[in-house]
Amino acid sequence: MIRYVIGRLLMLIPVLIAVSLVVYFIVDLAPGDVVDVIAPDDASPEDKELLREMMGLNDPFIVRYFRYMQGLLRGDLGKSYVNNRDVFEVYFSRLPNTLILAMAGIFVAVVIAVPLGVIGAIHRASWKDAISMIFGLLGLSMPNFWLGLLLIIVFSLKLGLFPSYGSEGWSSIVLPAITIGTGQAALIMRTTRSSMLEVIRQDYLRTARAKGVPERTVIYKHALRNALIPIVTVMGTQLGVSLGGAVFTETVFAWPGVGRLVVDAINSRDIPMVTGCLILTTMLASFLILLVDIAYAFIDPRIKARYTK
Amino acid sequence: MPVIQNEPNKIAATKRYKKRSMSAEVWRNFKKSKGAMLGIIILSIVLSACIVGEFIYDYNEDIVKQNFEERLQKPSWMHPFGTDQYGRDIFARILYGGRYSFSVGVVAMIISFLIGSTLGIVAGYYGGVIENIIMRITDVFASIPSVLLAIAITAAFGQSLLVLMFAVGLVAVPAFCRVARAAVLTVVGQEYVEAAHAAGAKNWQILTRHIVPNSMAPIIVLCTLRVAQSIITASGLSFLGLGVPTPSPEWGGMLSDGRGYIRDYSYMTMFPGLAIVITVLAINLIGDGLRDAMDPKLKR
Amino acid sequence: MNGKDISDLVLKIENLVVHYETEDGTVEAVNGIDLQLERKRVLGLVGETGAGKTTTALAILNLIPDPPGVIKSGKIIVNGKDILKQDIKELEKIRGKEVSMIFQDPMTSLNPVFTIGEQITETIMLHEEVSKREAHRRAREILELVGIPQDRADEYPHQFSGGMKQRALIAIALACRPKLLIADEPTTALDVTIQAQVLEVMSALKEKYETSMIMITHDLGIVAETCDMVAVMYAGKIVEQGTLEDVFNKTKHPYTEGLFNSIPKINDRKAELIPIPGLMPDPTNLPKGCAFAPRCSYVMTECHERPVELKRISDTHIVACHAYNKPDFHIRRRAGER
Repeated sequence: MIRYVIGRLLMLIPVLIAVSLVVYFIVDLAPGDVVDVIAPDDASPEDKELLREMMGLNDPFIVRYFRYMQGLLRGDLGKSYVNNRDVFEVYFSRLPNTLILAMAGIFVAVVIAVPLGVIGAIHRASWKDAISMIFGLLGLSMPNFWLGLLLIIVFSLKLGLFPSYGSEGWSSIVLPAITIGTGQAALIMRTTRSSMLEVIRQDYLRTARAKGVPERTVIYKHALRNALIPIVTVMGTQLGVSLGGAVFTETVFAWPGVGRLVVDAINSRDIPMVTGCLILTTMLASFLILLVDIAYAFIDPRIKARYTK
Repeated sequence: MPVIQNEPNKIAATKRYKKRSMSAEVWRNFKKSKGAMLGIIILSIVLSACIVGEFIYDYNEDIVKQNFEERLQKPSWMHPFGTDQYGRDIFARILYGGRYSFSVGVVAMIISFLIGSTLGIVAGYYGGVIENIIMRITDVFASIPSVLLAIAITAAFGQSLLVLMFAVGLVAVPAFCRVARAAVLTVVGQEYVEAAHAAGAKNWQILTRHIVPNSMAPIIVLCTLRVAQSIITASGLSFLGLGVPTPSPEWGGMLSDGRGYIRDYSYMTMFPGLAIVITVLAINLIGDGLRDAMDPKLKR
Repeated sequence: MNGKDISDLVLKIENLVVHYETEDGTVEAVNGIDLQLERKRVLGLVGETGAGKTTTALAILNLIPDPPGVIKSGKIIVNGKDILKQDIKELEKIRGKEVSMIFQDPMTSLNPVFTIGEQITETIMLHEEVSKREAHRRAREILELVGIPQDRADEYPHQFSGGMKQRALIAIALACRPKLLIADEPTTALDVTIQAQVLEVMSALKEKYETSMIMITHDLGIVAETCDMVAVMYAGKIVEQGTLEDVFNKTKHPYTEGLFNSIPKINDRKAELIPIPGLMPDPTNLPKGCAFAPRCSYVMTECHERPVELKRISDTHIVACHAYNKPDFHIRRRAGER
């Protein structure tokens, strides 16, 4: 098992390199560079060009990428154009906030979605199924930035139950977590439902019932355990997505996470910050997706068998 | 010999019969879905309202012209959805703004459909090294959170409707690629494809006659769902100020405007949001209906 | 069969009617059958696919999938308990403890994410007050009994071959020494060479635990080897029932005759196989007379018009056929012909 995990981690390295290359390439296409920002207004084009040459900005793309990745390994991604703070440091000071929000969101999502999906599947085509399907469709169709604003209007402005922004105290995470969790809940619920529908007519459930296993145990132990692979996949990708998708929720609730950091950086044309945030977040997301992949082996013995042999 | 000569005709006849009956079957199932019919009705209403809006409103006069005497008016007969901070009629802006959402949704879907399903079909049909290369590249793009990828693209190429379409379309390419490959893989193993190979058909003939038509169902479903998702992503980018530039009345952008007035003029955020939800919901309903109609396994 | 003490009966089914109510019509799967099974006896339930054998078996456990299945009427008494009147808690106690079932396809009947040992242990833990350790020890023991080495208890189903899976399922079914074992085509999905081994294991354990058994099959060879009693089903009804001797050597019903004619004979391999013409009637639209009439070579006008009742031929032998109203009627198949 340990060998399996280490093997999978090693396989992550080429993915991380490829992912960072893609992101670096895209951001590199953006017009303007550091020279435009730091050079004095009266600098002549020749002076600027000289400065570029000195800073290595005219080197071929692949050389600059290589230099950047070396910096990444040393924990040095340059300094912000705007406030001259260290990109690496700022990113990791903001990251915990985003991770907390992502975890809280996925928690809300799973708590709502899994039971709803299971109920929908076992009472297929009944009113219970209809309710869970309507929830799923609404959750899927509602942009979370709008849901966040609605929640603010109702629970914070009208009822005054929760704060509408910031990250002080536990109550401030309630609305953001619901906002980010609802859309994910819709996806997880729909996945749970269809995966359970698939499992629910399998012969081994009949075997379980025939040996006297109570119906609840049949569903939540025998069936759900088998339906888990697609559910965990969605949860994992959603966790990865919520690192990026948190952008909207963090914007709406002024939550000081990395999503907000990216948007601010883009709006102020802070290229080192944008590049750093995008590359680090993408790498983190790939890492999360891998963790989910590894989790499969613990859920389904057949997958473990395929890799250990 | 007459028996052998008859054979091709007979096969053609049965195939034609089967094909027609299959799409008829899908249509029959689809019509039975109340949700899908509701979706079609809602979508036609929203679409026709937007088309009417195109004709009765003038962009410069009604949509972007500021009128401070009428600013921040609550919904009334004159202004059914109220007016914004510049005194512009929100109802008119929403109807006019539909053009952005629908065009981005459809064009982005077409971009990702063309690139993604071509790659997926090629990967699934040819297999081997080609498949490996395509799928590994797909994995890389899929592991970049789609919102961040879209943000990076808009940041690199600047704000415009075209960039927005491209950015939103590109993020869905991996999804199309994977679905198309999976669909092709199930078809490639079928006996009739092997029979076609055995009969000496060329690759492109097999692809166009057998593989593509028989693996379309999941791709079509994905197309509908992607239009819905693209509308959300596009309006999200506009909400962040990275999509359609102001003062164009994009729904996400209008929402963003409303944020500043949320305490006292919450209708400014209500109506653009509702427009997005209703449109996306209608398309999702249709997509769900299509999926159920095309998936005989779940029809029980 | 007559006059036997009721307490010696493990199973008694009276007038069981089961329908599946689907969008496309009502499938009349089981249409009024009566069955009795004494202790330690083996009843063979024979018939084509779709005759209602599995539905009957599932009804005994009250496991008919609902919807669409509905038990319209009837009484099922297992060990003196009326199955159809028990609440769900009681049923869960009966299933796996008093009545067990082995299903047709061993490949899909084991849960892929639990070890074989866990799946046997679960049954024991459900029905007996034992510690987990004890249950696990017993699970390994019974695994040994069905011919699987104990140390393979910690393996998963995908590591087992088809024959071993079916043995594991037998172990699960017999773990709590049930009074009645229902085996639904237990060997159909297996290789011929494995079939014999599995049947042997099953028979040996049944003897050991003094279990009664219903063997559902369409293979008359298996019936001849394992059963004491035979009931032949057609379109949801029993058409002929008796001891093995009665049904095999004194065959009465034209359908039973047709079944024998359509299998190869071991001692006369040149004999022509005579298939039964036609197909089973559409179960959503059964004929109002005898359901077999459209395929029967002895058919009379009466057969199409009047439903047919079971007639007693001897103490143990009953048959449902209008032809036996005529005193001199006999089918073509000679007695004892095999």
